[in-house]
Amino acid sequence: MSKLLLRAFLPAILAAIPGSLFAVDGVVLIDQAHALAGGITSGDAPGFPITISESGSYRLSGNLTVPDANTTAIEVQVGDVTIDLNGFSIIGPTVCNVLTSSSCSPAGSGEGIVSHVGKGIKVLNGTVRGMGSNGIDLSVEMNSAEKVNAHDNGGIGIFVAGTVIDCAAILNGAVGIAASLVQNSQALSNGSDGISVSFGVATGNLSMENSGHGVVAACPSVLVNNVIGANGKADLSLSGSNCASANNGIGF
Amino acid sequence: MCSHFLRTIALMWTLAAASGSLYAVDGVVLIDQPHALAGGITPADAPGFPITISQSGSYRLSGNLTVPDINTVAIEITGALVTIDLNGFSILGPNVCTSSQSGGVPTGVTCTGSTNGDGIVARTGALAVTVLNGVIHGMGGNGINLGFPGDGSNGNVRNVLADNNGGDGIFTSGLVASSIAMKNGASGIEAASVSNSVALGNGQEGINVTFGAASGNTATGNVNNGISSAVAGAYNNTVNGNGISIGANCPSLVVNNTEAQNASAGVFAGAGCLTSPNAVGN
Repeated sequence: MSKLLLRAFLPAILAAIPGSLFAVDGVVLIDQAHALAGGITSGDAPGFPITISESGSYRLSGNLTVPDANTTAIEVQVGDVTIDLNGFSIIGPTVCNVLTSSSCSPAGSGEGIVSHVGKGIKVLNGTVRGMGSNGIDLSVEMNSAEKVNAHDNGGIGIFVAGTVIDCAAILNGAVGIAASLVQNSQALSNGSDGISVSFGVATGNLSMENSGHGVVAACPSVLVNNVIGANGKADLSLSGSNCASANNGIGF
Repeated sequence: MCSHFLRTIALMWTLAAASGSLYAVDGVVLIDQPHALAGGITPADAPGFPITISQSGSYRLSGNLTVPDINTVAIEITGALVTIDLNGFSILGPNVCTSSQSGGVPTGVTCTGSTNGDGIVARTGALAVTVLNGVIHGMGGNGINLGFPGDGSNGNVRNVLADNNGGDGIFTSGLVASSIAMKNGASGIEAASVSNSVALGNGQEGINVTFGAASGNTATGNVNNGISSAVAGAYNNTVNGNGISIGANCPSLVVNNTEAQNASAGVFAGAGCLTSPNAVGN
């Protein structure tokens, strides 16, 4: 009888323990306290960056705040990882004034979420702001960002060698969004180009008031149904051959 | 001994779950009517309405919220970096709006009252607020009020239905996507940019964008402009049956829209507007 009770209630008991690392559905919860304590995955040392070395599903249960512009918040060392920001924010100290001085301060090397090795990494549902460098940096193919706001990051707002859907990049120091596919997203008032696609697709986006081009594409790429205007350089810039560009609202 | 201990733990957990804990297991703060009336959702939150959200974080409705009168604000936000997930629930007030028309042309929307009783309002300093996934109905003021375009507060709204509110359905400084504003006393949606949304039968503008763009929207039966653009873009929208089709303060980009059966054509004030091609059948 006692074994039956234990099996029945153990997951709920573990989840109910204050500061438990696990939600009842097996997702690993991440908050500031756990970041500072370490041990979120094997090899995760106390403090930042949080090191994710195990494939699985992770979810913020509170904001993460890094101490300076040179500190990275989360480093992913494997593939097949989902990070649900769950409406919370990754926060750094950097503020950008790209409209007036084209600068972000303090500058630094810290990124919000970075991986240079993993495929199948997905980041969703939250905000990354104020990092010294890039907000999101997932440079290996087949990664994605969805419903993420990236603003006031010193580097690129969202850089994903994969898909970016329904995101917003505002007032970042460099490019707003750089990806293979960018859909239903906004890039506003970034310090360089608004949206950059390489051999991919940009569709249904808004790119305005960026210091560089509105949309930059390495051809062949497809650019459809975008609204692009009031950028510091030519709204649309294509390099290479065989780009398809149609039904875009350009220039005002 | 062991079984007694386990039974005690199970009972404690059950009681905690049954008592309406303020926190979901993932750290999100849950908000419902009892917690609103009790207060303490954040340190600055007093009993009753408005619920005051003074701390950055993620908040989620776990039940409808009902305010007692049209002068009451449901949620006021004083902290930055706040996400409010309405989670499919509604914020409800007693305001009722009725529309009038003459000869098929919308002539007005009359509500029980027009007050400062907003559904969700972001106060000064409440930057980067996001509201999503629910209904705001019958408020005395705006359904959602997250600042005005150009003020830098960057408030965003997604997947919200705002109807029968005495002011605007949705009024924000940032982006509105995939939302509906119906029969509100003032404008349907006012924002920097509005995409893939619907404005139906509102008392002033259907959709009003400033320093951004309106794209992929439908504006029908609004008393004034279906879409109004101020130094912004209006692109790939459908605008029909409004008092006025599309108006703009130039420079603006107004192209690739479909206009039909609007009582009058829009006015473009100033220089530098691009206004063709559009499919016009007013």
